Amino acid sequence: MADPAQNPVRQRNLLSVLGLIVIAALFVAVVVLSNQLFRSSQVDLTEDGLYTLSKGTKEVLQGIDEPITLRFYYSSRIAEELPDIGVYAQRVRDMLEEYARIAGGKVRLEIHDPQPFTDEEDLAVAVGLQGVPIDQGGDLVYFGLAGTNSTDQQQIIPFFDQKREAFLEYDLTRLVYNLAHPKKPVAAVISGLPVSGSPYAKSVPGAPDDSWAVWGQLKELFDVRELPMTNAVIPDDANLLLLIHPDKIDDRTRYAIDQFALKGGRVVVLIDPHSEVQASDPQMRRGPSPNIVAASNLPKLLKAWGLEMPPGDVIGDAKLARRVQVPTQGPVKTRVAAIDYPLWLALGPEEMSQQDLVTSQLSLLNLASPGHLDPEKGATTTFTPLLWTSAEGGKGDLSLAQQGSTQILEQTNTFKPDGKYTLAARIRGPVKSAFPDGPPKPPMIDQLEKAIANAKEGEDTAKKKAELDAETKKWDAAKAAHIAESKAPLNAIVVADVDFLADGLWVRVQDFFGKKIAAPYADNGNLLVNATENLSGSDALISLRSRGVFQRPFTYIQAIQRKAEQDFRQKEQELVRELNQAEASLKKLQTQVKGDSGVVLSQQQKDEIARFREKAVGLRRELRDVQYKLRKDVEQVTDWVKLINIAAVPVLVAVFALVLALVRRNMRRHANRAA
Amino acid sequence: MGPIATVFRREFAGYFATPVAFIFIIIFLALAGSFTFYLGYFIERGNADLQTFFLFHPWLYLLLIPAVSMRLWAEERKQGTIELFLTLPISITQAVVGKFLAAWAFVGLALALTFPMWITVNVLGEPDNGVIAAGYLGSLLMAGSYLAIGSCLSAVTKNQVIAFVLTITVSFLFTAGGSGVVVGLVQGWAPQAVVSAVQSLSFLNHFQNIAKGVIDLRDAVFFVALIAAWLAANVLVVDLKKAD
Repeated sequence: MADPAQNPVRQRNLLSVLGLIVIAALFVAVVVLSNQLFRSSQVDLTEDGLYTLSKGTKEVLQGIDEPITLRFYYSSRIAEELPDIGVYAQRVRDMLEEYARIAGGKVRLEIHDPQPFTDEEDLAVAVGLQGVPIDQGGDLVYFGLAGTNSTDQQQIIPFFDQKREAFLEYDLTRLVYNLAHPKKPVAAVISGLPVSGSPYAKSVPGAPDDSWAVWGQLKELFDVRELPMTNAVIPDDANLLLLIHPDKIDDRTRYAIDQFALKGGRVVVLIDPHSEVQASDPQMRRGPSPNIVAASNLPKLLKAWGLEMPPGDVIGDAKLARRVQVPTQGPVKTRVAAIDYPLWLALGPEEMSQQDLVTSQLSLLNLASPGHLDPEKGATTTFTPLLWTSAEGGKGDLSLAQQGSTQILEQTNTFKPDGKYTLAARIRGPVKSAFPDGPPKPPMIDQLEKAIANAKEGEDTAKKKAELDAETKKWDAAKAAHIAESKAPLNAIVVADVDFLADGLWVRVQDFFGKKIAAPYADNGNLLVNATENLSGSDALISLRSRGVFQRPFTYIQAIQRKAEQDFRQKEQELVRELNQAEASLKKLQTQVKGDSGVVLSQQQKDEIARFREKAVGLRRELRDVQYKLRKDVEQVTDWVKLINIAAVPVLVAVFALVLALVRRNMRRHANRAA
Repeated sequence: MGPIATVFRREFAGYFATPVAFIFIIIFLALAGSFTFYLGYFIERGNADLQTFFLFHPWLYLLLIPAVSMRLWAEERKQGTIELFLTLPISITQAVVGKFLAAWAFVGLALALTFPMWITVNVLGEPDNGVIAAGYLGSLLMAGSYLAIGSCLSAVTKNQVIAFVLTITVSFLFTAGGSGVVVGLVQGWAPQAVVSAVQSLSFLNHFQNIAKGVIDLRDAVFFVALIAAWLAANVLVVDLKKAD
């Protein structure tokens, strides 16, 4: 065998092959090393820094006192079967590692890959993680997080749903925050809406939980105590009072709220001149339909706090109107029309205060027939608007709103914009009691007094007198404890809408293998959570809550649609009027003909009927054409967009190539001739 | 940089000497646009971003870039111009880099000509332009990677068709490395570490990360190292085969 060293070609080949192997090894080494070394080196080019840990997260992580353990369960099989989720899992893992790094040893991260039928899988199931079948074999995979603190309290994310990717940081930080602050603040809630679930679901064991998504969010953040609408006693340890649609509240509860606020308590008030949720639910509405009364207000308290919500006004906005589908009963059969309904508002950042932590990071809020708030003259508090309409806001007709969805078209047609309205406000400052005479007289005293006065002769009223004495003493004590002026400035946030809390306006709740997964598409839930959290004193989480719920819609196409829709409505109204007139005339003529013994029609009558029929047919056609044009305007834009992006530049390149070829040919000819 | 610039100029001008380059650009633009609108439902999604536009880039490159790269060295070898080329006062490395940069600039030009998409989303809505810029950067890096592979494999053979097929095959492995099919093939016999390694070599994962708007150093290092490795291999192969 020849020695390769003696054959220069073979030696060169061998060296080259070795060189290739070294290059491959070097490449793999560089990739592996960089994966280890550069875990937190990235430039985030997204407008809102979607992938950069926010200040709030860093504050939470640096403020941890007792160590926290995070166990990240991730079945590596997911990446093999579902590469998309694999990429997401890598992001989750990177983020968790970043958390551990920033927390400086206070967060310990463990990574587990639970294989089927192992102890690790049992552990994952035991902590409450959600196993998901990935193939027909029935093996389960896991992609979740379990965190524990030093007192063995546990918080979990059962399965990282990719739909919540934009909220990943919030979900993780909240989990860490909850573990670092195991004692939740107390929120007292008085609600006229079934936010915590319907009475049926609450009373029947085993009935599905139908609480609203926002309720779940509140319960994660607060120790929630539900209070009745009447005779409510606000617990001493309550950090916050939340009033949702207080429509049947009594004077004693009002007094309790007044005194709570004066003691420096924090209050979130949600009221509404017309709650669509209540009006549309036969279980909830208080009156027969139509003319449903579904309003709530706190005029006495609000007046004392320096603001009011005029009860008869429902606010709409032509510019912020949401598009809804409504069946219209026109002369051209029933059709489903998409119209901009001014009483359903989609507020963008321009309609939210960018200076206030509660609203500055929200991108979209959906409200339904809200009211408006006005500051009182000479108020001692500051009134800071948080949400408002555009300049095209206006008052809608409350009576039409009360009619419900059947009147949407009428509502749309009668709506007249007349300026900006405040829809939510922050109230701060010293206030006086709304009850200058002290606590209201307990009704029990009146009852007892009446009973004693009306007692028949010889009847023993001693027991009643004793009761009256006791009640009077209690009242006297309450009078003595009465606070007439605020001890600490009032801190309240008032929103003139309650419907925004309902799931239908902001979140899709899906059943994911038996677990409820909420995928919000608007910030409604965040508004309430921000408001409650802000008032209960924890600002750190607010800065990162609403990252990334962006809809970046094609605003240009929307504007065209809106314009076309307006034109269509106008034209439709004109044509329908004409058509109705024509049809009425035709009907009249036909009745007349039948009435005139109806056997022979005069030529004139026949001509007249034919003319009306023709007119009616023509008008119907015109109406169809207008309707067709509505879609055509948008189609035209999209056709242009397609043409420009698919064909325009290729055609230009082809023309350029052709011109270049011709120029070259000419140059060659000239060169040949010259030669 | 002198010799590299000279090679670059010669090669780049060479692309436009024949209609093939124009045809490549036209096909690339027409396909990129059509895929975005008809397969990616750009209008129907109604969202002012270029996610659906970038979604198809790996697969477009997989098909088109081997067509650009196949002639880089195979043609020189077939026509015997490689000897002449290498007698010039330039090193093989400079020649390889110059040719690669010219091809990359050419593909970059084709990519730049998709600018109406960027204008479109800005006219139709208010996109996150940082994310779009990252998408273009990621796409360019990925195109460079395909080209580096193609350049090296084009030096392996004199036959352009074989170079084309080889490049598509290897590029497919790098593209689909993160997908279930390839992982399934590997995991039957290889340990988990190898499976993870194969996944981490996939263009798709690294490109998706960048196209989201985050330039992670790891993704950038991956593409740069991949280009450097294939170009280094290209130098070795050219050196090895120059006399064939």
